[in-house]
Amino acid sequence: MEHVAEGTLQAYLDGELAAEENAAVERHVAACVECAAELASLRGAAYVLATSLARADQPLASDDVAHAFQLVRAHAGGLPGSARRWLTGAAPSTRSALLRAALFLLGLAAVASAAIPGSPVRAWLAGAWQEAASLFSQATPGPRAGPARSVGDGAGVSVLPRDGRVRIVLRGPDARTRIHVRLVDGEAAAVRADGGAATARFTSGLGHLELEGGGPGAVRIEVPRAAVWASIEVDGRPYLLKDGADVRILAPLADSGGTEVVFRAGAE
Amino acid sequence: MDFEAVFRRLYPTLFRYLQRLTGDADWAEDVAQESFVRLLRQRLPEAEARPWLFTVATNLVRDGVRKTTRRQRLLASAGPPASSIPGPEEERERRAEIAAVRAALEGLAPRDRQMLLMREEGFKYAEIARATGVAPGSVGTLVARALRRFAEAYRSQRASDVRTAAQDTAFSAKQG
Ligand SMILES: [Zn+2]
Repeated sequence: MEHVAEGTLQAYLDGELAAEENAAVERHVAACVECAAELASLRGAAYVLATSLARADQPLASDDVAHAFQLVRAHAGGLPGSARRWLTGAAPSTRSALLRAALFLLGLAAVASAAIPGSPVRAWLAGAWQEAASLFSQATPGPRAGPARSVGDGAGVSVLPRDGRVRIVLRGPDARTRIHVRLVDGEAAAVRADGGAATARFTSGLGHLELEGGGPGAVRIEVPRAAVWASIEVDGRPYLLKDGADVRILAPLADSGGTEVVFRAGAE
Repeated sequence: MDFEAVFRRLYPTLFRYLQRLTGDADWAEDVAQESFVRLLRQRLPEAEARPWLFTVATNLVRDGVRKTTRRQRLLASAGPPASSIPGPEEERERRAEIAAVRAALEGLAPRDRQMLLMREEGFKYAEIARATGVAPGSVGTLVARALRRFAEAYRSQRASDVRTAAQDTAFSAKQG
């Protein structure tokens, strides 16, 4: 009686054989001690692989999937006209326009970098980003965020992250409203609305803060450096994501410098 | 195709595969996301999207593609929250486990590693054959040999961990 080949035993274990061949393997293994031992040894190796891999895995939380989806959607939103002109080589007029384009493009880095690996544009982008990053890193600690408070003629609320995570959502802000974001020491995230924006309705809970409506004005957001994960979304679109030490800018910047970045609520 | 539904179904399996392939969760995330960005331009039915994604992602890893955003470490932030730091024993065991798995996987030829990891994600032999460029009839044999090699390397690595730990214990006992 000829023994069953190793590959056939493996295919049997993996459910890859047609019914007829499957039955033939079963008949043979039932009658052959050697092939039965081979089968057991392959089964054991497969078990070692599956269980050791699972033990070493870093698990993925459902939040991580949602976060990844937001990033993919943001990256796949298509390059805006200004970025496209950039990639095709038209020279923007000023240094600050360059920087803004760079910041936005780097927000879309998955698309941009893959499109032009090793290109001088990509290298330049990396340099411009570093420059912007150094502006950021000079940031001085902001004022400590306290409990919910009212600030001057604006409205201010602060919340503590939940399990290190905080999500800040703006719904239906005036398109002209400018959103200022800075990272601060301390535990809490804070949002303050000034000018017409102060009429926005605030809702907050542990790890989450929402603003609805409001006229044209300024919204100032403080994100705690210590937050493991933080997001700022406007009408369902991610503008900024902090993931550990990474801070990703996902919408065009209206301005940056000093200790903050500024978005326009109605970004293109 | 409902892109979001496909994303929710396939992202976890692709991420797991890439994490195992690279041993680097950040890189796995970057490559998984980049693969989905590319998928958006393809308009494939879901059944085709799955092997397509894995093939593209494997190529991105092979080409060493990383997303530039990873290097955008704009602002230093605090380390992990204290509550998530495991005890020293637990931490030591987990590190040993990961090291043994990495060593065993890295001892395999890249093609064999890809075959085993695709098989773990439930791919059929025909799909594995297409993705790795081997004859469909040889997948069973190649998988069996790679499995044995992995299990042997993993077991010997863990056995040496146990010996080292035992020596440490004996040493500290002598000291005390
Ligand atoms: Zn036999």
